[in-house]
Amino acid sequence: MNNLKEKLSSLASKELSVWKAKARYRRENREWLKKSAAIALLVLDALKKQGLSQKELAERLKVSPQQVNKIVQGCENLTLETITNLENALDIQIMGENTDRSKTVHRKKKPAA
Amino acid sequence: MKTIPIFVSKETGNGLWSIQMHNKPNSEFEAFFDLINDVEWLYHFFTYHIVDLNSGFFDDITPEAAVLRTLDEAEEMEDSLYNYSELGFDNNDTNLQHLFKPLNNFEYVLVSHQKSKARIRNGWLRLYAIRLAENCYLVTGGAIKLTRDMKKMHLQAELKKINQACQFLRSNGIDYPEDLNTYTHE
Repeated sequence: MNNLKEKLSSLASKELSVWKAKARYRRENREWLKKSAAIALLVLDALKKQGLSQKELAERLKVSPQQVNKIVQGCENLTLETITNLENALDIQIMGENTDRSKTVHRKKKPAA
Repeated sequence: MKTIPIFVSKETGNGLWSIQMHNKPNSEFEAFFDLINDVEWLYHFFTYHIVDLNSGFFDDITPEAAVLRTLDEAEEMEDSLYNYSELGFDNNDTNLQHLFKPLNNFEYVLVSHQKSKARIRNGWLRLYAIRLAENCYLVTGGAIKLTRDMKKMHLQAELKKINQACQFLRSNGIDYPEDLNTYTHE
């Protein structure tokens, strides 16, 4: 094994792998990354159905094509503003009804005892 | 081609290594996990391979569902490897040999310099590697395998990389036996 280790080490790059740091990031941010992935799929599906390119979506959103590319990769921590802009630009629903104020049913206050 | 230590014991040299092609910015191991966490890449992969996706080898599912399934599988595979890197891999309970199996399904004996694969049970992700010692593997790449055989172009490319890595090891004095054939089935 030592001989193998020496040979492998002699062939090894001096650069270190950053996989572990990336894996740690994916673990620590798993909850919102899953939501970002689900949104990315909705956007990709809408682009396909409407025959739109990412560049055209970027123009509608007034952002760079690189920004749209990050969104469809499912790795962006999207703001509510960006999500709303995506909904309007693609005419799709991303947020659920619970977050739509116009459809929120407010519970009536109980009368005082 | 060069080798990159992914997580390797300084004392023993055991652990996980990866190849990196001379024209690529990352190791094959890192590049594979980047790809299988990229929703856009996965969506296009499953849209392109829709016939294989619906061929009956796996459940008949949409590209969107396949993307979500892959992300879950990637998470499980990456978690296992991350835990090995954190908790150690030099004892009977955590040993890389538990994760990697011979590439050929009909090969039941573990030998040195064996073409190997890691997979999640009933999953379609594959991490391909060469077994250098009981607890030392050199990753050569990875793929989404939707078909029973290895005839698809992207799987053939993975077999080619394993063979290139074998040649690389051999030409650098890490002997590689000639008795391992080219597999059409894994």
